Amino acid sequence: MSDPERLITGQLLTDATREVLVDRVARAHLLSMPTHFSAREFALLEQVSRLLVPHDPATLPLARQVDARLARGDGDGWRYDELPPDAEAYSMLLLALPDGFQAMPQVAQIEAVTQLQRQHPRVFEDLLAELTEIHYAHPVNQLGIGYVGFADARGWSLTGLDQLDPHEQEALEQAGRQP
Amino acid sequence: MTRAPDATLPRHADVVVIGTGAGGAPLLARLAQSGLKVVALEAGVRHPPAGIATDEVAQAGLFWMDERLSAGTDPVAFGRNNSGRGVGGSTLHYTAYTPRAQPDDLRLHSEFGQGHDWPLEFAELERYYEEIEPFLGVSGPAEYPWGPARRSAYRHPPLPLNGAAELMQRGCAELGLTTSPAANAALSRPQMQEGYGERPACTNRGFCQAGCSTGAKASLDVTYLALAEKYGAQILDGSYVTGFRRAGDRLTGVEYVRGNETHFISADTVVLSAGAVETPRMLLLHGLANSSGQVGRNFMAHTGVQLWGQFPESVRPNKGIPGALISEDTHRVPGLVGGYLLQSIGVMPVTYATQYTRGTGTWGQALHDHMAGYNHVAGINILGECLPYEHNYLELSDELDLRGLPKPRIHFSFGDNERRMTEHAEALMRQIWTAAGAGPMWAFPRAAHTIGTARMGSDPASSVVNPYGKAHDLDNLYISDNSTFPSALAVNPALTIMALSLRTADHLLEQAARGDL
Repeated sequence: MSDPERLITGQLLTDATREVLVDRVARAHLLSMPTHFSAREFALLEQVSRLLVPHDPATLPLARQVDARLARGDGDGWRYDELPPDAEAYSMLLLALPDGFQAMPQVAQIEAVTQLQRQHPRVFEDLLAELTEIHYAHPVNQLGIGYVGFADARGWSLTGLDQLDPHEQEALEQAGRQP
Repeated sequence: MTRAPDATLPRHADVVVIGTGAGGAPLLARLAQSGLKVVALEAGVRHPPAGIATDEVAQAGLFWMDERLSAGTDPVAFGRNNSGRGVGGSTLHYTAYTPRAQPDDLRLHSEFGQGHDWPLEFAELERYYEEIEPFLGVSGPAEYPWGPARRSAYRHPPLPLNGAAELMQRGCAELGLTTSPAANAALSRPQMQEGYGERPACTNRGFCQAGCSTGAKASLDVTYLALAEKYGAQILDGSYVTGFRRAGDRLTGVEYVRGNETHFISADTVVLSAGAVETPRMLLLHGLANSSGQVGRNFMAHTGVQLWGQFPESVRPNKGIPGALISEDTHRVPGLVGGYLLQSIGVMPVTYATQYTRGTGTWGQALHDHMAGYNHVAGINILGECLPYEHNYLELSDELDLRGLPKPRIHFSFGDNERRMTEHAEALMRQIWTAAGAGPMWAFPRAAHTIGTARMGSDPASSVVNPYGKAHDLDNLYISDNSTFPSALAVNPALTIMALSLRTADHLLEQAARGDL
């Protein structure tokens, strides 16, 4: 068992929190092949995702999570009125990338994505926020920024500036992180 | 969690209440305590504290996720903002910040010649504030520096200051601004709650906006709704209202879908408490109470610009009651109509990350570099007046949701006063954060809370409901939620929504005593 797993499966989390996080980690990379996007769109989405929110797709395939969300038809409760529904808006965004994008050197890809952000700010913002949410909702990525807030089964007694709560210290140690 | 089997569903109630948030719940409890047969229809389900995870994504079920269309130059975010669903409504995820409105909030037009006055006196709210605060178990300072002197102290001492609050205290002291621990409806000491049992003291989890897992926060499921059920109120969760039956100027009952079945409940009185988006949406969908043409008009959302800074000190902004410190020194600002309050804010990691990307457009390694400083982030924000405008309104779009009902489209654009208020506030907050020692800062302009859309007033030509919340057009339809606010108030709305809810309940009881209900 890795250090993060020891923390997430342990008693520092409430039952409700543990159930959610264990499930999220277990299922993160078990998604089926993309069903919503076309092969071309999905390949573009994968590449763009890696540029927008650098990550290891083997641990947490962000693009597949987006595909699965759209396939389920879930939404986040609102959208910009000027945009079509998410699925359509994302496809439009991806297909607005220049021809040959996938074969470009990274510097040129970054330039193309920067252009994309300028030309389609609203839908770009939505996609970026969605990828960011998926990435930072993963407990290993949360541990990566020194966050152990989910290990709050006993609450915190020290909340002030420069105060590490003893329970936070314990959680960080269990996860193999330096406080 | 468990739904009542259909065979036991009530067929009639003296009063049917639609929605169980801050507008519906206090009224439900009051009427049940008085012996009326009351039934609440709630679209969402129950979320008992033990099932609440410390995880923002997992708690998305506390929000209204049917899609809303956001139009205008300052489109309002919904979903995880400005919406609620579940037994307890938006109070399941409010931060429990419960400042009182001030008397001059109710007289904006008299003072400035803009906006609207409320058709009631401050004293009529104050007596309910005094009843609600101890019932919820508000924790607050012994002496509150702004507004009329309090006639009684808060029931519990303030919750501990977290890192952001300490920093705001430091920065404001440098600039000569007064601060105070804020009033929060979360317990600093245990409290017995009638109908629920003992609610423990807050454990400083800091996840109020994703639901409270201990019952320390006064969401309405553990307070007014528990009281209501003790006195016989029935709460039907998972019940989505689809229609109203009407005979002349009276409603005769409500149709709703529960599971896959449509049901009908007859009612002597109907109270609509679905919030300032779903309430006008239902009125427009079913052609009710709109002879004034004012349903959906006057949509307001508080100016709510946030300023975030990174500090040398460790803040760990996920800990502690999020809004621990307040200043109302800016309640009036020369040159502005109305003013705003300042509050320190904590933040959960996913919320912070997504706001940062939306607010700054940052991506790539720069995003991760910024997030590496999460533990050093502290925020401060405002909650300020918003005037009603012709250009801000809710309408039904021609796009249908999964139920086949038109999605609401909400138009929202700041006016000149909101833009200048935001600029004033951002400049002041930058000074405060600089004085407190902040390194890099960034501002996130936003609007918070949904207000207006079924204005209360004495004139049926320019308002939807009368000063007690009764629809001008119907004899037995009441509205009890933030839809009826004639002005936005420079404070968070929940406490005032609850005050109006009890006021409407007392009015209904007076009517009942006269045999008019």
